[in-house]
Amino acid sequence: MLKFLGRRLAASILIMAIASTVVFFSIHILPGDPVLILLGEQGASNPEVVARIRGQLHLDVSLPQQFWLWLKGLAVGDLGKSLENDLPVAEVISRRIPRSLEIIIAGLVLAATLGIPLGTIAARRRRRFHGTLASALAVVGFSSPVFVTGILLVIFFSLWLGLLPSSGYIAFSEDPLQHLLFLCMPALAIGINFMGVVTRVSRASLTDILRRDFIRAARAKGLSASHTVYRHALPNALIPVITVIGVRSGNLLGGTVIIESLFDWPGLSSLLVHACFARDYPVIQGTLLAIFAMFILISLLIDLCLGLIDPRMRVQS
Amino acid sequence: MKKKMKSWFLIVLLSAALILGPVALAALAETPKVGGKLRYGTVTEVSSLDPHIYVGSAWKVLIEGLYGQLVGFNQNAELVPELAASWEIPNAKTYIFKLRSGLEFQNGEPLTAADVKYSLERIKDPDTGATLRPNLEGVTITTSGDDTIRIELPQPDATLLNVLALPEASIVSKSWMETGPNIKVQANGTGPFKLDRYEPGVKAILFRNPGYFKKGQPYLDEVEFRMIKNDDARVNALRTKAVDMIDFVPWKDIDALNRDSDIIVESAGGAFMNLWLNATKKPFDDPRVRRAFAFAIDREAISKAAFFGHGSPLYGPPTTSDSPYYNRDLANSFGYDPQKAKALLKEAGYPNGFDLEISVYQGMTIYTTTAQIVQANLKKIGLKASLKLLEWASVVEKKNSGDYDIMVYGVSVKLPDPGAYSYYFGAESTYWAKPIGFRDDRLEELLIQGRAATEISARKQIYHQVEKRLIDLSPWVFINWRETAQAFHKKVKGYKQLGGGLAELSPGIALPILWME
Repeated sequence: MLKFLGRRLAASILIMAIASTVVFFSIHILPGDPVLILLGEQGASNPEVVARIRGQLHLDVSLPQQFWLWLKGLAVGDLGKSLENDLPVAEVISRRIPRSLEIIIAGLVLAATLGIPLGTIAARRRRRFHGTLASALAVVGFSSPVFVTGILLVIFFSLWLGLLPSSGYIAFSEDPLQHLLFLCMPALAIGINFMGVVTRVSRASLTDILRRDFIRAARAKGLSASHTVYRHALPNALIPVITVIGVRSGNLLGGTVIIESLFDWPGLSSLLVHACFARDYPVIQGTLLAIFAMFILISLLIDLCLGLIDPRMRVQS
Repeated sequence: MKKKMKSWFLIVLLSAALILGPVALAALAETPKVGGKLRYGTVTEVSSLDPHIYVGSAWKVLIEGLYGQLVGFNQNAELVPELAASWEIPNAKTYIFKLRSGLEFQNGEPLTAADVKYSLERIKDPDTGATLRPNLEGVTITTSGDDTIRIELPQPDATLLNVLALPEASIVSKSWMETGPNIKVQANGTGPFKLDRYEPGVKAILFRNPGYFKKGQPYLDEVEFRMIKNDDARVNALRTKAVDMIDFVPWKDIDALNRDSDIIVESAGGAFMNLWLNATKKPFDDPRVRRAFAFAIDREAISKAAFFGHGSPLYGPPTTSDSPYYNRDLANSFGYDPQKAKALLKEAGYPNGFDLEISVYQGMTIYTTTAQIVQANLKKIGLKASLKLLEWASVVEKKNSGDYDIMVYGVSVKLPDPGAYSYYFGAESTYWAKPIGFRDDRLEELLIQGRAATEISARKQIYHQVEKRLIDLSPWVFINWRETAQAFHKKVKGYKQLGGGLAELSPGIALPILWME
């Protein structure tokens, strides 16, 4: 197991190195000058001023040199400073990561607790009313775009019922109740969309498992239908579901732009988008690096999880 | 008899109460209430609080809340003393300011003439990248005593007071700056509010500054700025009372919010949309071609489609009708007249038209819709235009390198004075004329005269000629005013939206005297 972890870790570091190199050079190739954006029309009207500011931000040296400077910083855990406000990138990102994780985890928990039972119903009652209804809910969930679901949620819960705040964020430490109220709708929007995917995957997977010989054998031994499903079929069926949840949560780290914008939730995605438009290179690089790292961490966790559920995985590794 | 007296007395009392009651109530209602918190939702994700580098309209409001300037504007659009108690202009090249006594920064240190000198020099320093640096180029600042500042200009400039009244000319503390704070996320000014907490691009919380030099102000205890970039989220936050006031009301929502009996919308023209024609390229170097564009555009259609009726067409120069410099005889220089446009093209030697590309910012529908209508309008006069959608960074790059044919571009009025024309078209201090490759000696001469003249009647005459020249040469094709609207709940009192160069400043001007019912 340790050997397996070590190998995975080494591979991860290599992947991160390649990914961040690609990111570094590709964002610098894009047109657009951060200094001109920073200073605005009036401030940037003089080439001398632009040159001086570029010097201050170390943007006047060649690209490989900039890359070397960045790597040197990275080696000692320094992600650099934001071009816009001189704040250390690590500080900015570490403030945002928990917020992003919070809506993603809340959304995923919601998706799993609704999606897996729905998927099970859909698989067991395939051609009956309940099963069809569950499948229909899944289709509605994953095929309605989050901005539509989000707007509908706002109209229903905020404008009509006045139960939930339409958007915003406050730290848990400042006002726990308000914090949870703010969390509800972004989590719901992610959850509903993702629930559809979970339902579909668990339905397909369970349907497949239920046709296997060992299920027939279990039933032949005299086990009850529900015992067979919940004790023998479902754990096997969950393997692809967990993989999907893992991959998907990795995607969500930088992919909740619409949700964050709609609900004014200051997470990692909105930071990344703002930094891209401002060409704030250190922030873009730092954020992407953090997303890569978490992605790799999540896939590692999934492998460990699968190992726990599926003894075959442990033997293989 | 006694009884009669009594009832008579009662009648008098009752009628007095009836007459005076509402008057007293009204007076009571208009007496500002001290205390309370204003929650303000803004479109700009303010990412830095450096008081000398403009980053968007909400930045102006924040900086006016935190810092003070030598002079300022009031809600009647008049120039008023702020940190300076008075000033003298012995000649058009010399300005002498006398500071108020007892001014203090928020960290308790006194404000002296040395701080003013330091601040203006920081603006001049190329290492700062300050927004107003071009305006203060060549200026020398000297102090005498703790309260007198003398500013000498290289050439006469009647716009200096207006410039110094902008938040971009805020006064910072010299000694505090020398301690090396990160002025982009920290603040120490003389404004009505102190910075309590700030997360760039997300939120800023301001508390009352008890040491503010205007007695009894500000009325509010606290202002919370929430940066809500998403238009729908901002409007919904206002509707659900999560915020009390929002800026930059989306044009599509102005009418709907106006219908809400609990919400007030105040708007005024503060920026104007243009078509920039690249004068370094053929055929846009020919004024006749540019004028053809000015006649070809259906401004009414743009106002309706792109601004939902909240963008009055601009058929003349961009001077608001409430300005003393407004000219009725130039206000309708153009109209929608495709025939005339065609004739002008023919005269310029393009009877069969030509192909061109319209570069446009893709991030806002007011830009893209305007471009689409322009494209259709140009087709009518035989020009085949294609659209090129660009994100902001590319717009800036193309604009500066001059790599475009024509561009849809919005400009906010930079000064409440026609001296702003020299920003747009002057050869020396300009940042806009360069990108369109336009230069005209006659115009240049007039702009210098305008800045040197101090008498309003003389200035009126000069700027009349400036505007005439601009209409004749049409370096920019003015399209329409872009209304800047603020919306707030009825309980927010004391706001007044000003137009033109003061549109962006209005929330900042109102901030110390806003109050909550």
